[in-house]
Amino acid sequence: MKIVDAFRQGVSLVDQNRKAICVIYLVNLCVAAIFATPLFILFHKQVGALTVRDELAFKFNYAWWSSFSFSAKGLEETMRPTLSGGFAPLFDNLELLLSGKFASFGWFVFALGLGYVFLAAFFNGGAIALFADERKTFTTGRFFSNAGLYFHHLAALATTALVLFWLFYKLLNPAIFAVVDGIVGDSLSQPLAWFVNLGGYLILFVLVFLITMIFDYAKVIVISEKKESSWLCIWLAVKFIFGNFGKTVGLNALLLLIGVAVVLVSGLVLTLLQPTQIFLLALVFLIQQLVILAHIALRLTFYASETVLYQQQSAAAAPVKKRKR
Amino acid sequence: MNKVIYLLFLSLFLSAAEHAAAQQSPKVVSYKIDVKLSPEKKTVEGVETLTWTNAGATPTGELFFHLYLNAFKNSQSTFMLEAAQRPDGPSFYESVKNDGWGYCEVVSVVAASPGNFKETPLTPVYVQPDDDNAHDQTVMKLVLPKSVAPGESVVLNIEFISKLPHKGPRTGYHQNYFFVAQWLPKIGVWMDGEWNCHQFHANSEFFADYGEYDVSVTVPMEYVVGASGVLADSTAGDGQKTLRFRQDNIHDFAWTAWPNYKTAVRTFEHPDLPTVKMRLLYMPEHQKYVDAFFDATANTLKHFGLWYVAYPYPQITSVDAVWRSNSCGMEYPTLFTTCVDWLTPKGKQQPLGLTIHECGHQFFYGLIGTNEFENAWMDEGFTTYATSRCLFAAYGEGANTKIYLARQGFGIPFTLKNVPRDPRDWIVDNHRGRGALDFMDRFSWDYVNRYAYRNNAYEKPALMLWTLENYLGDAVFNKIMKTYAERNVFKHPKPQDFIDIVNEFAPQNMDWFFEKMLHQPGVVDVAVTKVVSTPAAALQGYTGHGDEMELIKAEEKKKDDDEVFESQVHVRRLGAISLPVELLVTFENGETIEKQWDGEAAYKIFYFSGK
Repeated sequence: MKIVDAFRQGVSLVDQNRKAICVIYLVNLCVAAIFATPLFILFHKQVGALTVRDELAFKFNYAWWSSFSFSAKGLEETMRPTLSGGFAPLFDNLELLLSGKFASFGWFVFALGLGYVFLAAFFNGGAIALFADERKTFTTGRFFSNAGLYFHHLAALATTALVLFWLFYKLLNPAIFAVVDGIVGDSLSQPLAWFVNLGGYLILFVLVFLITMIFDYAKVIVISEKKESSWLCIWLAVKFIFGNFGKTVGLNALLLLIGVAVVLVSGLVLTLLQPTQIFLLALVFLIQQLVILAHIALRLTFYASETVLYQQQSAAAAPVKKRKR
Repeated sequence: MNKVIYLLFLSLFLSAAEHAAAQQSPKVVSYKIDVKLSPEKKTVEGVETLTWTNAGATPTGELFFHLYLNAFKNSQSTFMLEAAQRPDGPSFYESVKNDGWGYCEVVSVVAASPGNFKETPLTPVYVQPDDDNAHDQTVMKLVLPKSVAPGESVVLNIEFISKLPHKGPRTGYHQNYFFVAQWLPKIGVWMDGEWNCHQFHANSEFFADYGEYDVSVTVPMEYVVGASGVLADSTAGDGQKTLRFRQDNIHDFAWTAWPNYKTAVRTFEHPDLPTVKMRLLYMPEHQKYVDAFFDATANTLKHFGLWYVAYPYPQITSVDAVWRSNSCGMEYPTLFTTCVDWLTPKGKQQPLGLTIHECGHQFFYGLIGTNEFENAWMDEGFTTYATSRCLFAAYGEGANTKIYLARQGFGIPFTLKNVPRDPRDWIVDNHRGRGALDFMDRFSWDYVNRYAYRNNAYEKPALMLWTLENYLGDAVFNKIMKTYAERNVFKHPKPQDFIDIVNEFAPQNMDWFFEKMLHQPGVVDVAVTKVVSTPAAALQGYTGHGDEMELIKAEEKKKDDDEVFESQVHVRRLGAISLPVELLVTFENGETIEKQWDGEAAYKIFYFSGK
């Protein structure tokens, strides 16, 4: 099976299950609202009667933030200047991914992030089961039923992935940069150091990409094959990926590129669109919601395309049964 | 008579700048030094001939010298012991171990005083005036055969070897790069009947008398050299070259040598200021920043020159210090070091800010020679204040920036164009977290830690000056700063000298202000914590008295047009230091009311009533 075919069929599957995007979006919105409400109340209490309020609605005020952030705790710590940029959140996330400093906003926010990982595991189970099912059509009942049915598997995989990433950041990251520092040595040239470090980060990025891919396929296999052991599926995923290396990596690279394109386009639009009036503010909000929808759709396309590729390649590799006479 | 008129006219046409340029410092010291750099041994060896004149009011039979490089002689020096407590202490140990240590070894000293005593060999003795740490050899005492009376001079011939530390702070070597500062046996300051010659501390800089430096350095031919002063002469031969630099009216001398430096020269010109040759030594990879380095230097010479006092020397040398050399961001008379990352975010205003700051020290340190050991805030704080002022005047606001994935020279620079940043923001940010650590008016090594030093030397005094400017108004404050600068060129002013000038021009005595700012730890921070505006409550209860007393159960609600609102604004003092505060309240109908608060209490509620 060609990479492009897997991608096309993946897109088609997601298209057939558009309601899944809506369900996941609504859940995201509700979760965000739960945490945004206390923040809103706090901001209102802080600046509701101050003249800086009107400015804050349209523009980040550094002086105010400096004072606010000094005593910020918990969720308040996530308020930062980079939130106001079109591209900065992308870099924020890239930095978190490669450095592993997920607790930099405090343990409360870190715990919320962990909770979200398991919430995502629940919905991923529902989505992958839809794509793996021969009927391939969305019903709310089936979606939630499958999400519940496979949750223990996906939660186990998520836990394993977290442990693996912890080891990755604790051991592999320092080891790679020890090598980088050894190469740079006592050089007086910052450009040399810059490019060697970039190499280190690229290696880390490739490893994160591979680990993520392995766990994606492990999820697909545990649901498609209805396996009992999640850990066995990690091994099967590794075997599948390296058995079909060009296609699996090619497909995920294609999806990643599309993701980067989406982020770049949305970043550019949000950078150019600096709201000065309330309707522009509303427009920015709408665009941001569309971007979130696009992210969800893209994530589902990852799973759908991976499921298609796995099923097709597995079928092609399966021994042909002899016809009974 | 004609001559008098001519002189009068000459005087009228001489600009303030030329007056400053013509001004001479008291020539307390005269150094003639001849040294040779050995890149292999990382040493500078040579002979120093120092003529020291007793400019004090009392005689002295002893001379005290700084041997700053001995701070890096061993792990038990006062500097190293204090540095070990600093956040960057351990990394510093990494760079000096494996023979990265440094020292200044005095091989011999011979003294003579014309008309007083003949040439006499002297024996150096190490003393520790600050902490009695016997391992510290950063201060040397010489006992003279006879006292030197006020106005008399003594000539000393000192043979010395200085071994430079590996990536030492402000001075040292990094491979074949050399930044040679605090490298010579340097005499202390004889003032108020005693030697002001402190040991070298981790949180302190320097203090010295003005005079003349005539320094010849011999280096391998391929080395590019930058130094304080002006190149007076050069000779070459046998694969080596000797460069002679001279400068009067300075109190320190630093130089640098590296084969890979690129150099550029431009001229600073301004109708009201003296022309200055600007020489830049920079890393080849920083070619794209050359314009910025020059522009920031020129803006400093212009703004500081117009606001305070003109730069009187013919040349200024800026050095783009080599990456990871630890010599970036330092000031020496007529020479300063700056630096920049290979990639830096556009909105960060670098290397502009750092260049302005270090070049700005030519004024608050170079020309106005405050004691950096004892009053660090008078050079760092004044320069930090003036830097933000100059940066804003020349370049306006910067933008918020971030370096992503920053480590060991790497980083993805990013500018948040839509989040502007005032050049003062970083000062406020740092001060907010460190303000309570200590108070300002202390010796720099007495602060509780490095952060307290940073806050009290840089951030708090800068904010104090901004506050004073806002409180007194631009016109008065600018006059104060200009007067302070002009009166103290080539002098060693103390805090009271500045306070006296403030009191001279301020409409009220400001001692109360300085008492709080210099002697109280804490920040000045006031917040509006609550604003409430509600319709006035209906009148209930008894009114009148005697027979006319009447019980009112509830007033009828008045028409909307007549409705009276009662408003409260709660203002709370968050910081420990109280200063007067102005409050501007704007009502929905556009009416504004201005209120004053002395800021003494923890909080105050302002009440307003109106339609």
